[in-house]
Amino acid sequence: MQPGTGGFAEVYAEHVTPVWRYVRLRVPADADAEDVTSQVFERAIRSWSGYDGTRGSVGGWLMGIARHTVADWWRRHGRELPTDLAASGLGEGVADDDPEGEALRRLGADEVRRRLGHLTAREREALALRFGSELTSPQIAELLGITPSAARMLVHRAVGRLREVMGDE
Amino acid sequence: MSDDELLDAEIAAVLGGTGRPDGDPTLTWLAASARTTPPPDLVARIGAGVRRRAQRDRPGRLLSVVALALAAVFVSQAIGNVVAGDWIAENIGEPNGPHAYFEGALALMAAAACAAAAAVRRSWAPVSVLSASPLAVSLGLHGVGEFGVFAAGAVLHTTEGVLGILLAWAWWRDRRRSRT
Repeated sequence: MQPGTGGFAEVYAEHVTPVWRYVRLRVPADADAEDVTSQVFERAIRSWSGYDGTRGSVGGWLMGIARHTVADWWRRHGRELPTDLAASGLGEGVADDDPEGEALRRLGADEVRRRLGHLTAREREALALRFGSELTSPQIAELLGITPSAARMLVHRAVGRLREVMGDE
Repeated sequence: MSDDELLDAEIAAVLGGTGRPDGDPTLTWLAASARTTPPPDLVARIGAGVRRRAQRDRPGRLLSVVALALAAVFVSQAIGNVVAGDWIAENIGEPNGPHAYFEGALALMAAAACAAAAAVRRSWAPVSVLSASPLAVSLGLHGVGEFGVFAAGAVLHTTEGVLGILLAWAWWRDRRRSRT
């Protein structure tokens, strides 16, 4: 796929669903996911002329933008979350420095996001990429800057942890 | 196969719809929970944004017409050089040089492609103007010597010169309009 706004219409049509699914697993509410998904495509179309097909797939490029946009969203909205989250008692066994996980556990609009909130940020990211965007382990590895076997192990650990969370309920 | 490789294969099967019915319920649940359809109004909103952006990169009609006209004139000169070299040489009173005519024709075809680019995308227009306009104006000035000598050549080169200037003007006008 070569840069050009015409080509971007095809990219958008093909990738809007995986981007939406990834983003939805990463933020607490669907309304937030809609905002973030819109921002992802606004950013993508602005930088489409700079996309270099030799450096990776267009899907990977879009997911990179999605990851940064989600991170920016949390930077902006993390401060606006209720201040009693830390004292909610829902964060047992989870690192204290994970406000995103805390917010998902507390404010997640559905079961899947509340359960993902019990995972570490890295595990959550891996599962959102594997199950939301349906990327393969090598693609996840490329995005996260790790080896494919490390990506597989990360997903393995995350699924194991999710089983524990579901078992504890 | 290691545990993580087995799990990876099982996830791929679940996502691909070929998972075993008695497979891991966590994977089945996670795949089903993640597979939601984006809201139609979100898809429509993003689609509208993409289309707006696409229109912004579409050059105006005048710029497109001038760019295509200049490209057509370059192409016609290139073809004339190749198929009517004898006739041109005879009319301008110079010896025929098929080799130079052929290579000149190739260069003109390349210039035609550059000129036509402005008709495809607004963002390509500066390249068209920088490459095609100076050549067209130069050919126009060079054609002054053919007035009264070779009418067809004089008309062709004058047309090129005028279109070269028009291309630069149309690009400048198109830029101004796209910003308002």
